[in-house]
Amino acid sequence: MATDAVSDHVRELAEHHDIDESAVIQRAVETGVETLYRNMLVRRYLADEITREEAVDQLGVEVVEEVESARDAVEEDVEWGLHA
Amino acid sequence: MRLAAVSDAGPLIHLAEIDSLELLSAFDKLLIPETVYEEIEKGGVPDGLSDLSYELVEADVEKVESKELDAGERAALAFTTERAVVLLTDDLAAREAAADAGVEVRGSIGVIALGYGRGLLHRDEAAWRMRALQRETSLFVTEAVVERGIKTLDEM
Repeated sequence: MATDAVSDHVRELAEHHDIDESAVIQRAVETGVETLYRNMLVRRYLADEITREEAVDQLGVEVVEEVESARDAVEEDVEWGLHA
Repeated sequence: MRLAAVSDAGPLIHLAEIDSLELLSAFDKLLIPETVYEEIEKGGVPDGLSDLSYELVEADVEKVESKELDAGERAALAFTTERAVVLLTDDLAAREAAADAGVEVRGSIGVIALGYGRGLLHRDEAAWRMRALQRETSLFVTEAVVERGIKTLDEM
């Protein structure tokens, strides 16, 4: 996203929530870091660097099951595509 | 072996978003339910679709009862049932419903792998397009899952 658009969005969010732009940026950083952290956990789980129990503990069973379904679907698709 | 597929809107939209609709030509026959075509028409028919050879088909949407699936997904699944064709969908709920009905089901990643398997793409191009699906389209899939797919590509 272009810098101008980011600034516009920050301004609009601040007005909408009636908070300072600095508070919007703080929330954005917190949300962004949380997303990146969860992505890292998914990556580590799929790479067998953490156990399923640890993944469930940090991500929740629904997310882990969704990741597993997506992983299985992708693996099955690739194997099929190469041999169909 | 001749390969026929019926697609719901997902793969048509996602592959169009990465300029990869031509990979659907890896199928010997591509079928699109009219309900699905009407769905994608609302968002604008992707440019590359007119270059593809496909057949519009009628499907009985009411044949599949599901609150989780939209009309297009139900139409594609209804048409696929009892026919020897592959269902293309990127929706996990539709995928699960298809598997329960004994239908062979694949997604956009599978179409890219098929393109690689049939010599339409080199390995790096296939990997690039898989990553593009995750980065540049409305398909919800995590980066780690896509990387797992690319790893599978290399292991086969």
